[in-house]
Amino acid sequence: MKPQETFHNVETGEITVREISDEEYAALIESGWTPENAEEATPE
Amino acid sequence: MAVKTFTTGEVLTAADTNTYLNNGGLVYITSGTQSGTTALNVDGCFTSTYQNYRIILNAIQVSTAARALRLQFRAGGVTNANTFYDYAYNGYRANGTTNNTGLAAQSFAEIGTYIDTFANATLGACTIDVLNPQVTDRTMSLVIAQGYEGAYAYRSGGFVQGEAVSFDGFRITLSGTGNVGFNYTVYGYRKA
Repeated sequence: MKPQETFHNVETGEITVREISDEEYAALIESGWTPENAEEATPE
Repeated sequence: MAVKTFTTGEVLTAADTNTYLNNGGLVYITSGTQSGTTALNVDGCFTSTYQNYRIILNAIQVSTAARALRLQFRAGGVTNANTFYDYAYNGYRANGTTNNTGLAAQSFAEIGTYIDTFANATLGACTIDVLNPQVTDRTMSLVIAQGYEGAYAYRSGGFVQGEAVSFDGFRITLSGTGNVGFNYTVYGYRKA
């Protein structure tokens, strides 16, 4: 299930909430975002 | 340096007031409340009007513990997730232990706030100065952040996006699943 995100367009003032697109979801996964990586950013 | 110095008995006019409103050190651009979703995307906040910007995030909450907050820049509504983000922070916890962190060549930049427990509690805050994001060059950002990592934890440092590209927005998300909540405000630094 793809996540819901908030999009704020400053020029129009419009704030929308929507499920991200397939392309955005692919980019999110490619950026390292997965349910399994939650511990990745553990500080020293 | 003062825009104008008033003397005793002098009238504050509409023109004076407008002059002051237009000459603040930080000029309000936008604000909002983020809640109930996994990420916030703000587009069109970096323009040619200002060179440098301050982003303030406060009342940060995460719905799932053990999450770091991350930033990526955006341009034309598209997130830049290229592996050119480097970040480094000095950190110290209120229990007297260090919590430095840093990584190079990532597809995101951590912004210093990490919340390791107490989901849905207000435990984080962050100020980010973004320098010259509209210039087609590396984009530097300076950060002061608070989180909770076994104790209240504070970090200072920053990050760079190392590509010669320009940005008009940013995205805040978490290091894993779950929703993130906070209030956000974006200001521009008055040029002159």
